[in-house]
Amino acid sequence: MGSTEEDRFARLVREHSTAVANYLRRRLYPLTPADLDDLVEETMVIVWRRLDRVPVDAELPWMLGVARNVLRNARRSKNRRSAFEATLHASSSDPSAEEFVIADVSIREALGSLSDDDREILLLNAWDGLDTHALGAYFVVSTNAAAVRLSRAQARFRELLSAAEVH
Amino acid sequence: MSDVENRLAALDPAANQPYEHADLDAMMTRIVATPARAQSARWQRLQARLAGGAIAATLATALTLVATQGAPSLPALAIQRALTGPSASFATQLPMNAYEDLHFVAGSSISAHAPATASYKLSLPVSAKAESARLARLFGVSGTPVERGDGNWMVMSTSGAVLNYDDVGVPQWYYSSTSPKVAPAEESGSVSVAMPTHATVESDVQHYMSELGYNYTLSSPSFSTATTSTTTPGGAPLTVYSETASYSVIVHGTATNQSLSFTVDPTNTLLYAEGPAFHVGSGVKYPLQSPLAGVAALRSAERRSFRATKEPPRAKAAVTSARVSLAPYQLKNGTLWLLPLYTFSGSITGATSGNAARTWSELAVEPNYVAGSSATSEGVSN
Repeated sequence: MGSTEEDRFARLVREHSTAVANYLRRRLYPLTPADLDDLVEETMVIVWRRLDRVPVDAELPWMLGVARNVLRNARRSKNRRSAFEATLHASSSDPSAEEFVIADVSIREALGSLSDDDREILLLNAWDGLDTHALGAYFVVSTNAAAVRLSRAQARFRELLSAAEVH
Repeated sequence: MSDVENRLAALDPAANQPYEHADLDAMMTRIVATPARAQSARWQRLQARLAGGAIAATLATALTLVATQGAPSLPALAIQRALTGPSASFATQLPMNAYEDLHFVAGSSISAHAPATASYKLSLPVSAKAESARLARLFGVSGTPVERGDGNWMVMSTSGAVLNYDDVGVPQWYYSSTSPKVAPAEESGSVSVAMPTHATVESDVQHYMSELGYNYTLSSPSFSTATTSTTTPGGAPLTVYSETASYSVIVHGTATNQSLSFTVDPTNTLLYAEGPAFHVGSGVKYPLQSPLAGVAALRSAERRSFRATKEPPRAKAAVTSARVSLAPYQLKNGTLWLLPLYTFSGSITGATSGNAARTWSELAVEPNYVAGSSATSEGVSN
């Protein structure tokens, strides 16, 4: 890679491919390493095509937004779940479903009861490590608006968790 | 990190699984060297492999409907998918009933009589671009709608105010103001300054509702306050006080799972607002099954799930209450409908994971009008 553009692309890939892969893995689980690599590559294809649009102060959130659209497009494909399940196989190192269930039932139940929007912002913060500035870049809203959304989601999550643990 | 945050982090499916691409250099070379058309073909192949269940957002409610019987005047509903709900979209939400063989028992309060709730076809804004522009003008955001891909439109003013319009499923709009950009270091639910009265906020919301022009109505509001303290990028302390009015969307007297909220600051300046964008068509009275029959449907669905299990279920699910609401579904012809949905509440006893309160959902449309799997999902009681 020789040009400035290619240098920047290479840096973005090296710095953020792991975060992108983890973002994808958290939302499409389990994945074989080969499937995960392909999704990462598809994300990077779009990053390369739109390199001039990648904001210098919010590179990762922007790339995660691309990954989000890659997943959305996958969701919209014509095939059904059965085809999906027939082609994807858990990696042998993945924990079993039972291990996930046992891990923390109350947390899982509270997460499951959140709205999609609340869950998305909560987990972007908790799992993907996006702070409110990055969340603002991801959702293309002000940092303050992202903070309000996150705060509400966290409050609702705590309420649901408390309810789950009462029983 | 709090205990809750630690527990949440412990459920991270990507934790302790370091990612290493098979060959990053080869990937980069391939991307830079490959023409766009060839990349597109590769994506189509990948898409075919991953298929529609990629995020499994609506796995719990994949229904197939047959031609209706007994009501030839009603067109057949052919449901493609449910659009929202507590169904799984993440690895953390594996359905509990996959591990709990439950015996559903209806309590004495579960009615054997079906309600008369109608179904409603939704009319959506024809042009997402035009609607986002209209909403931007309404909230005072000056700018041109820009498509960000995948049905998402954004209007951003030079001052930083943003109107987002997400045209996926039931369209949703989001407004955020040019309020101070803060990253909260501390947040609490109380405020130490005078906030606008509830009546003032509610009056303003009603004004916005008339301007928005959608023909749904709102529940009574619930109000909450928040104090957010932080430091600006320059290091100065900054505190933002806010008050939020939250509403459920009501359609002809029946609650839906759609919501709307407005957040203001102490000067009653709108900081943030969000809600759905749709008009409700005339009601169509598809026959409904009774709540009691709905519990029976839950029981049947559970038996189908565990048909290979010879032992009787150890866990009992006692259903003690039922309420009907309207939930959005997309039909195979692409139209969106609000269909009656039962939400059952009750408790599980005798399960390996312990006793717990639960809710279950079941489409209320009479089963004779539905073929295929049951629209059943489960959540935590709240």
